[in-house]
Amino acid sequence: MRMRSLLNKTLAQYIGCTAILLLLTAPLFYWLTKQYYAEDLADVMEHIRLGIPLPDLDLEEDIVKGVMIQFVMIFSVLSLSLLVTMRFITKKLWKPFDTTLTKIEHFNLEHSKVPNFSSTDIKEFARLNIATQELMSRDKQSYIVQKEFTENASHELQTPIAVFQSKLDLLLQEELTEKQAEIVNELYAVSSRLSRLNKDLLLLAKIDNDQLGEQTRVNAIYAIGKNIALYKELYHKHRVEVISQSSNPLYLNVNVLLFDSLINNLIVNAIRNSPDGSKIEIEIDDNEMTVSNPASGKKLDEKSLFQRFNTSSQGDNKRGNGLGLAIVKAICDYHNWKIEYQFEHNRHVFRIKFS
Amino acid sequence: MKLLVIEDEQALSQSIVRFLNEEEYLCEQAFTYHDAMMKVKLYDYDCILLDIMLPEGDGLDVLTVIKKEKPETGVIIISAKNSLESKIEGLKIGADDYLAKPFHLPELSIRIYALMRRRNFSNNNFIESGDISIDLLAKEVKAHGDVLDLTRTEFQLLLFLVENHKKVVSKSALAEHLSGDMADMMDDYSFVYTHIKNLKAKLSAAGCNDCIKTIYGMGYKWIEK
Repeated sequence: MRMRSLLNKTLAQYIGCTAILLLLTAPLFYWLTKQYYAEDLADVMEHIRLGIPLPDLDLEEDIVKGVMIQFVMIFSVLSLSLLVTMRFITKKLWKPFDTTLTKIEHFNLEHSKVPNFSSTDIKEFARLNIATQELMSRDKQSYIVQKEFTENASHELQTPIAVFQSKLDLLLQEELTEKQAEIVNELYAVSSRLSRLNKDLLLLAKIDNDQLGEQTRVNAIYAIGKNIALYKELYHKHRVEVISQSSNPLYLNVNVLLFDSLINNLIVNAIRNSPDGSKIEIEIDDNEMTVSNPASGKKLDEKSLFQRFNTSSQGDNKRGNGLGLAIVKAICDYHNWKIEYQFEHNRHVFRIKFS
Repeated sequence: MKLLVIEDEQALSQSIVRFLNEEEYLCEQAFTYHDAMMKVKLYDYDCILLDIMLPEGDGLDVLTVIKKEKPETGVIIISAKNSLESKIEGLKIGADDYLAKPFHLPELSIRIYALMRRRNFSNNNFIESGDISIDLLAKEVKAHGDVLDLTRTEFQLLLFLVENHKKVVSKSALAEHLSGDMADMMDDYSFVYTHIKNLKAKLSAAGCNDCIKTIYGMGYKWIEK
């Protein structure tokens, strides 16, 4: 396709439009000329040729009138052609730009593919399309690379962590002094934290990369109860109670793996932020679930609460890795649920609305 | 009993072999896909530990070959992929168990025990250790012939310790065994201590004193008497 610049093309179209209009209005000009001066002049010449006296004509007025009308006509034709070019032809000319703009407006780095821009014979727009497409592809690429990086990094870290942990298991079999044992114990704690952090990062990456299996329909109370049961059996420092407000069972379409993780993270968060011996309540309604616990500190900061590696929301001595609530949020987003935090009657309340 | 460890990370492979060698296992190692394929085809093993992420090839292919040519071999997959899909796929092809990295060596050890018990079909649902005997089917423990009244958690703890006798088992290995994912979220293994304390008290009451030795508060060891 022959490429032309936007200016050249507009100019060409304007000229074309004017020419067509002039051609169309040519009979009008012909009639006008004939009607005003041509006719009078013909009359005058006729009279001169025949030798009869000149008719009583106000030539001056006729000519001025004729020239004025002609001038107005020409002006109207030019204006009209300008208007038509601007209004209709240019609109068509700028259409590729409009399409491109719409595509840019609808582009979402996270979800959409890089759009295909239709080809155009206007140089500037073609350049714009190529540049935009390249920019989008590059953005998308780096976004994917960044997303995959977290997942790959976490996968690669699993093996060294496994080696580290296995060496500790071996070291534990040796005859250790008390001091050495203390060090090994601390290393075990580090190893658990590393392993937890890595698992959390991997889970977040999986949610971000949408690499989770299908959803199944579960009875929420039953699913929560199952998670609580193990917890009740093992851990006695806090009490966890499930209260159902509704007589109807609440069915949810969930990814089971994620739902378990959601419940566990919420409970662990509640434990971290409440004094020993307190009661953690899980209330289930027709359409929502709240997890609440008595606060050992003050109100949490809503803005940073669900951010990754946020450590402001944690109790003094039971620090997590700052990913727990970020995971909770990601899981809610994944299922299109809404989660909010409130501080009511000196209790931290997390409320999830399922629809 | 012959065991093959297919794992490309040499340090991890050595740890496994060293930990298991002290048991009655004869361990061999394969570090690459081709090495693994060769050994699997040439020799017979009772149990194979298989890392499915191998350089040069897919571990699942090795699994397919094992299941085709030596179907009586038990296979435990050890993998860095903690995804449900790869687990399901592995089990579908015929793996007997699946352990995600990182794992504790005592956990691996009891998984091998459990697998061997299932494979041998012989009447070995009883474990005897010193004065106590454990009935795995009835989930019942007897000390000097008297039945102990244990909670589910205590039973699991006891079994874990007895099956890892001669070994010191770390608190975090126990915590993870008992609660899976929940434990490391807690970063607090004091619950293990509570349950061990209760278990010890019940054993003492039945006349088994000092069966569980505490190693500086960080690990536990079953003493066979």
